[in-house]
Amino acid sequence: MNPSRLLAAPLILYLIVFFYAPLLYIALVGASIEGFPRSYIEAVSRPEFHVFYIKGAAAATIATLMAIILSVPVAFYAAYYARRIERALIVVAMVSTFWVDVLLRALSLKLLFQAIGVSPGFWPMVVGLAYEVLPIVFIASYLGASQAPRELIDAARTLGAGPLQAFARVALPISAPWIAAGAAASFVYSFADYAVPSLLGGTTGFTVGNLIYTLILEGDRWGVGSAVAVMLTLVSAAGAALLFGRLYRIEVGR
Amino acid sequence: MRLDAKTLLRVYTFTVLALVYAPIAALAVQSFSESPLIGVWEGFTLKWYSMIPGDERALRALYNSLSVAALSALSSIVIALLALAGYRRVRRVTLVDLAVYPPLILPDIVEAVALLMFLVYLGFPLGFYSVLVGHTAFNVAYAYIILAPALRGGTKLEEAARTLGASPLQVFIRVTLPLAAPGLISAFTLTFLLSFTDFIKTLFTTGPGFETLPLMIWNRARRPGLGEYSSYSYLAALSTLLVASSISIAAVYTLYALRRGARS
Amino acid sequence: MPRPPVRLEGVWAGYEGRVVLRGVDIEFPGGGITAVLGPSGCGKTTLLKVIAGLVEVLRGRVFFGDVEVTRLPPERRNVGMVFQDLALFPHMTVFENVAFGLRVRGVGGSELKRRVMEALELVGLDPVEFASRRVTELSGGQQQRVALARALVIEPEVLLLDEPLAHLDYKIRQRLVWELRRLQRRLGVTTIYVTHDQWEAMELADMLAVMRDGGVVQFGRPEEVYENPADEFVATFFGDANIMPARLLGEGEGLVAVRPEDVMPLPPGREAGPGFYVIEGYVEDRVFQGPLVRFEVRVDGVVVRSLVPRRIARGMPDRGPVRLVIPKGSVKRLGGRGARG
Repeated sequence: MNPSRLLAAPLILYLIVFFYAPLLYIALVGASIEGFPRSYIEAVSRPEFHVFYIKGAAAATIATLMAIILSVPVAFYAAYYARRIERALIVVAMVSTFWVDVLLRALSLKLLFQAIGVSPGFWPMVVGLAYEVLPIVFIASYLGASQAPRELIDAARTLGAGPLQAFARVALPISAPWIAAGAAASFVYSFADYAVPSLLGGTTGFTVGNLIYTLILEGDRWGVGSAVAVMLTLVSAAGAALLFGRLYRIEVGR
Repeated sequence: MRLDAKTLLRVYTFTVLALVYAPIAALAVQSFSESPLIGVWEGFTLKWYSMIPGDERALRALYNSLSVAALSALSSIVIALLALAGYRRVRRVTLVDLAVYPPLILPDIVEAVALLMFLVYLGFPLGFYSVLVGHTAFNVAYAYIILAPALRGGTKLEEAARTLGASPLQVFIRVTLPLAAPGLISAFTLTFLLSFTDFIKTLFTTGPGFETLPLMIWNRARRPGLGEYSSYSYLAALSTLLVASSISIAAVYTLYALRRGARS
Repeated sequence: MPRPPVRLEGVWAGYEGRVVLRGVDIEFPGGGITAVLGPSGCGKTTLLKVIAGLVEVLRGRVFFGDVEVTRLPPERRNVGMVFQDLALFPHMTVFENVAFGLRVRGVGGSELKRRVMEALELVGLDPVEFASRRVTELSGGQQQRVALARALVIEPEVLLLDEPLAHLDYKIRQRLVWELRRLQRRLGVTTIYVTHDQWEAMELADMLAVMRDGGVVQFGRPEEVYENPADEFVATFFGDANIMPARLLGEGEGLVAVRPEDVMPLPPGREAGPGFYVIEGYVEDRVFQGPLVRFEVRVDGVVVRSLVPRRIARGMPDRGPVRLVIPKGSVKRLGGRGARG
């Protein structure tokens, strides 16, 4: 082996000690503390938990759909119609909030809601989640729109397609995998989020993030908590594998 | 017809942007309100801002956040650079490439729970260092993927410099570093911001007495009151400052990235 | 199929607040090929996009035959366009790419299939072999053919080609140019071919428009333009030319252009007739170019290029003094614009 490869050792060791070993550890703990597979059975079957899964999935789905509806047209406007300076302005404005602390964004929304008399609950939490994931979906859609350059739209137009047809038959199919990737990332993010539900969810808005927090930091149920975390990992890994597989095929296909 | 579609989309775009910035605007307005109560405007004041320098808890949290972010950004860049230096001439996807992706994809909360339980198992003290290693675990991955293109793609130019008579050291100073510089700036900005704004991982891996800014804001936002430093308007003032600084850093960075993208 | 001429009247156009075309007046003849030649950035692509309806006309009018199309959106103009980077749809097969223009026109079923297959055959692609291939798997030359088939299948009144061969190897380019010329002769569609390559322009064009800085500098049959370039720019951009300062009888100082093939070395001992200018020079270099040999001859501090058939060049020295003869009729006085000291 080439000795210069050893320079990668600190990175690998670091990831093993502080990322992979902890994951392996919770997988084992989830299996051992209360005896395998009891924690997993409890995590799957306990009715009180189902509320978190169902509400979490519903909230994540609705928030993701809202983010798509809000950001996809903006991404297409920026990519195809906006002039250079306007485009830069839109992209900067849409992306910048991503770098604001999630809590600050949730807090600002909480203040706005309270000012207009909306108290925390399921729907305010959904809006909060959509607010959080908007930049993710926007970036993905904008990258997707950039995959179908202006010239392809022009080509469709000279071949007889109207603006809507050109959009539906060329721009949308080409950018769809990217939008889907953004949607998947946004779903996983909202499903597992804790910051927004803790500030905007009140007593009716919960996600899997809340459940894990409660089990681990408040309830001391480490076995069940890690079982839930491991299952969440599997769900998101499966989603990521599906999407990356699809994007990879598209990349290779060209 | 074509103009109509454009105008509609444009109106839609600016409506969305208005919605996105409405909460932040509300936050800013609240921070200038005389009243400590939400949604109540009793005249303009700067008094909430003038209280910030006296808020020792916030200043300590700021100091904690800055030191964790700076140290985490620097150490993750060093670790990533070392790893990339070992694979300069390797074009195919390596095991190292694959190893850095899971930290980017996995939900924060899973990473956070796992690290907490593992650190407790090891008997690692919770506080500054546990937060630092936690942040660095995702930052090394980000630093690696940001720096990889510049460092891996530049070997052709280095070979060209060698044929022009430059020594390896001259090549490093005159070619490698300038080519990697934009990547280093990006990597530092992003890893610093990721650490500075991190909430969930910090929440799980911190110990008693160690509080970062996001944690402090969360603690106060959950139990707001009329007390000096826990009123909504004070919190709004603090948050407005933080939001404004994050957005300006992000805006400058995004513009810079767009301009570089446009040039290449 | 109608073969309308395409006419632009005082067209100003541009994008993002930048004006690219500055008052273009031109009529592209119906049924023929016009090559638009110019350096990059001169506005030739914008000119095509104006005709296709992809760039907004700021001032002026565009006609196909007698029909004004200035404000007509691209999908209602019935033009076929081959883009510089071809703009093939990466998410579609060869068949679907070619079928696109028919599908949006509501053509379907067996007619769609028949017309797509015919178009593929027309451009020399075996429909059985290629129809179901992805466009991303094809070679550059094959992609070029698909783009052409896609533009032709809709039976356009006007065919627009924007440097379609720019990215191809020399040999493939040469073959495609010849095929394109044959194909155009057969279909008789009004064709406008934009290029910066003078060889392509000469091979293809019935008419030639030379562009510079957003305007048409000269328009005419290629031979006419070659014989009588309007200015120094046209003289050197379309073909090669020796540009020399001269004192013209009764007209004062000016610049003249002489094509290198009109500059001939005079064999020793021979005298030139009355119809020739004779100048003395010194051969500095000799460059073999296949059928011709180029001599670089220094005359009064200026290097004059002389292009001589290989057989005649045989008796010439590689270096040394020489006398050059130039037929008087081949010396062209250049117009003011573009003339530089």
